[in-house]
Amino acid sequence: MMETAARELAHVLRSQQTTLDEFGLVALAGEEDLGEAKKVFFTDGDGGSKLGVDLGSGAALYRAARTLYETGNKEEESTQDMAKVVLLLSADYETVWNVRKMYLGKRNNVEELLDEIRFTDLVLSKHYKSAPTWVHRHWALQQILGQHLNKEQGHDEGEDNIGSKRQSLDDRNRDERTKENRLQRDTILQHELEICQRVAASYYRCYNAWSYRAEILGYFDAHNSMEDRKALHHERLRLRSWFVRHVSDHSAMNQMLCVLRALGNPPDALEAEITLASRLAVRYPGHEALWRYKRGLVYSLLQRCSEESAPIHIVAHLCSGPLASLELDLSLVDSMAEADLNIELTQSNHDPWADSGDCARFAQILQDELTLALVCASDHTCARSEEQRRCALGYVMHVLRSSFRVSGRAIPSYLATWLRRLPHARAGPLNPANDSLLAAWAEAVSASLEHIAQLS
Amino acid sequence: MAEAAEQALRARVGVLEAESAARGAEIDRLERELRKRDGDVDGFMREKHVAYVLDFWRKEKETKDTLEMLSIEHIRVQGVFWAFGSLQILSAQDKVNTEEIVAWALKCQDKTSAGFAGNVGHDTNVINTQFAVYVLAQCGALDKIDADAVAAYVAARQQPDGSFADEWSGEKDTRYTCCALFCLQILGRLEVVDLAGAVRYVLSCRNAADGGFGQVPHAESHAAFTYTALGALKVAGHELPADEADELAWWLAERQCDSGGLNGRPEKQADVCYSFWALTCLKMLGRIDWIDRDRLCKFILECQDEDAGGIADRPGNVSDLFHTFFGLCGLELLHSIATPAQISPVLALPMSVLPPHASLC
Repeated sequence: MMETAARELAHVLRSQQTTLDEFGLVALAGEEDLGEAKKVFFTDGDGGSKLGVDLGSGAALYRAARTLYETGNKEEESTQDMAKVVLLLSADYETVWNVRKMYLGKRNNVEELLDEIRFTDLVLSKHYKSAPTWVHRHWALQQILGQHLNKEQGHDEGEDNIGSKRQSLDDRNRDERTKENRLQRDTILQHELEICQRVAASYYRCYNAWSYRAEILGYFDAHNSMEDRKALHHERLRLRSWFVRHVSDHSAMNQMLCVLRALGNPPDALEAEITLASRLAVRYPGHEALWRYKRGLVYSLLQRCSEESAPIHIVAHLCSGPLASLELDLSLVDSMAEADLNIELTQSNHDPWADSGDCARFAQILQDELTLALVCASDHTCARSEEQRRCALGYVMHVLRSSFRVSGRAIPSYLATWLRRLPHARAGPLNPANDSLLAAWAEAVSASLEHIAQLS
Repeated sequence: MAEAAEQALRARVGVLEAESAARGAEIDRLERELRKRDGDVDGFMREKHVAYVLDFWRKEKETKDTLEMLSIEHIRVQGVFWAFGSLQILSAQDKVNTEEIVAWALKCQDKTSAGFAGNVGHDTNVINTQFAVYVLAQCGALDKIDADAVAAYVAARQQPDGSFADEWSGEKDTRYTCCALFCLQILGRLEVVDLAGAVRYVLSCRNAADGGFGQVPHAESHAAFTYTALGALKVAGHELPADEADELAWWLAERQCDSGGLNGRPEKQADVCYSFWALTCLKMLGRIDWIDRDRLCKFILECQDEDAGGIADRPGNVSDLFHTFFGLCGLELLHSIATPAQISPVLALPMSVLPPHASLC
């Protein structure tokens, strides 16, 4: 009885595979005995077509599909179609994904592999967390990029010419194919990032999606390809506009760190992102995500800095000079909170920092960062002020510790023992111990600044 | 002269740290003793949890009437591990028939490769192989398998970069590595793989900016993947340098939320499963007192399902086996419940079922 519905589902999956973009189980409250035909719903709209299955029949339909699949010949198309029905209803069924891999692997057809990726789009619209689905998708992508599109592809500034300057007709055909492959590759990778964004929007902080998204960046080659640089730049814009509106989304911020890394961590880009993050951290106080993100950014910056000079000297100099005489002026917070969030993105290939090895500029960023954090750490007036102070003190200590680490120096004991004061750090707003704890932290921070000042 | 003085100081610090570790272990032992005397912490619903797990056990065998039930069939071996593990912590493992479990688990083994699947008739992988070996260990039936053959299956999954991968998709992450090493640790066959390579891969998943570990290189730090990474390092005999351990413990301690529960990533909600994963990482690092243990205990107790028994992901939600097991592990690590089953912070198995060669800290 359910077999008909399972076959219908398989039929819709095949005939509509290019337009289907969403699948769901639909609860049909109060309607009973609709007959088999009504177990499967299909709507064809402007924005893509949707597929639904009656929630109450889900288990029976799944069982029927699985029997049809298990008893069928795995080499036949109809059985493979039924495998898709099984996966659509039970996306973590790894063994069936593996059967798909063997089937597709044998046929080794790039169009079919692209269809498979499209099928996982549909599965992920319902089972966004399903790790086996993400794994299968990654497998299909690797097949396409590794075996089909990569074969004859050189980079646009590549080193492939084998000596002969005469180009035969074969070579020209090959160049055409290379170009087409390149275009197809760019489109595919763009689509991967877009799907991850779609999942991020419908399921907040989905780890599998973000982890996959970070891996996709590994296929871009910012060093050799202009197109890839553009794609990374586009991802940067997309992430920015996302986390400006989702200031606790640390996953998106981690992805931004990955994008910057893929671009080679250019100091001017790091500087722009640090400025944006600081403005957000002041405008939306008490968000661990933003302060963690700032920690990541400043760490990348310090690493760039270490190529030119030792960050610890800069920090020691700041501690003995500007920070030692720092007046904690809360108006800094107000002006930062009102500052514009539209910070221009630089995307020139030329790194304005590279020529001069500009220590002064590093020093200025670090000074601004430490000043802002110390002011935030003393601000009892903002919303979520305890959280904000804790985050800010943690940030200062992170900068101090990191500057030792990236300079290849052992972390001094005063920066280590401070951490041992952590017990009950998250004692919560109602705990009276919290205020004295924060005071002790603040003391440890100023003592550390004094210690470091002596290094200069 | 100054060098000699510095060396003497360092040696003295080493001695004091060893003493303090020994004292920590002694406090651990005494707290367990006291707990056995005092009984469970107030509010712990022991009987309800036993009934919940046994009920699940019975129902799972008899009826498979919902899509949720059907869609976890392929990882049944993990479900059996959580259920039996829960009963062991609750001292109620005698209520189920282990012969039946062992016979079923052995049927999940692929006779050619010696790897295990998540259920009879499914494909093998390293993760389910580890869980099958765990289930056999729980039931005291490790002698029923050929350890060399299973170890050879695991070793064949290791890649040139030191990672371990799924044999079907080639996918690799810290979890495959962790499962491979845990499995070999139980089997006493760690020497069949390249441990240095495994360590190298795991360390490539460490994020230098926060000290935590992600699923793959550069992925966001996550408490569960930090557990898989730290567990793998521990088994491989690799200790993090003190400042990296501090960094990581700092990140882990900040997982404690206002509710007292632990989250897995910055600004996520607390979830009971991290009461094991994040907590046990702090335990492995010897820094369990960096969080407020009492408030964590209170949070886990609030996640108990008063109606059905079992433990949910957070207060007010419906319980499930997975969170029941990790909630109980958390309470055991906190010394909040009276149980003879002391859980290994690394392997998440009762110390009593570990072969002598496998018992770590």
